[in-house]
Amino acid sequence: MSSVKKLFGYVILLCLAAFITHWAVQNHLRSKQDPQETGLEWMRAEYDLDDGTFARVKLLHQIYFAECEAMTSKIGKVDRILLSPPRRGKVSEETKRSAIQLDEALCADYEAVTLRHLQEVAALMSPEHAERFLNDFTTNVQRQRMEHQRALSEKAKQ
Amino acid sequence: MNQTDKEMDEKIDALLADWQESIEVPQDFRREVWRRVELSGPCRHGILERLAWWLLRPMREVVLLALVVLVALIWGLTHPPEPEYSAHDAYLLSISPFDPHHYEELSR
Repeated sequence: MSSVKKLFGYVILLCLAAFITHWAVQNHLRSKQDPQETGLEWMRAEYDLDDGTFARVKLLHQIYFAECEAMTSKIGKVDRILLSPPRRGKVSEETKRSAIQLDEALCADYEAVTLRHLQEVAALMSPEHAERFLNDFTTNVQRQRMEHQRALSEKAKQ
Repeated sequence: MNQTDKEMDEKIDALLADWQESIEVPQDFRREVWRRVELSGPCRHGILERLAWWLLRPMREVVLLALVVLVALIWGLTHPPEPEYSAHDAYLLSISPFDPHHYEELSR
């Protein structure tokens, strides 16, 4: 093999090593991003929470996060019937209707739980911040619930 | 080793000691060599050949490879990936059981 060919092969090896290293580091950093931690830190800065208030807000969230994960998992199980139907066979109309009804009931309950949590958090903030916080997240949670149910109904019609 | 072999070795040693080669070279031998070297012209190698000659040695190859990996590592650590969502959306994702990110895999 000529020396130029060897050099070419070596340069390719260098590029490959650089690419793999960069990709591995970025993947590692991405996996360490935690939306709960990021969200809480954002909240602390956005609503000017002092250390004492933030500690109480964090505690409320830690309790709520477990509850939220359980709610998400339960909604996911019901939605799987419509969003990931079995490859063979078809989901009957009756099953679809039951799934949608169950999802609606769960969503109504869970929206109430979420809004109650938001109220508890807002109660620890100054009145102006509490109002801004509730306006922002109540609206967003309600919008997401509507979009979720609309998407599910559309999927059921297909 | 027997006696005959020993005698034979001694004869060979004596012969080699006497042996001398006399080579007759023409008078202008050296001048002719240099003339031919001049005629062949300068040894030309491209920049790639010279770079390959300089670089492709085990120690240099390993050092450069280690350097490239180190630079990629530092670059990756100092340029973290863009988060998938803003900090506001990260909070919403963590508190809303209806956030679409929770159900992305189901929808695929």
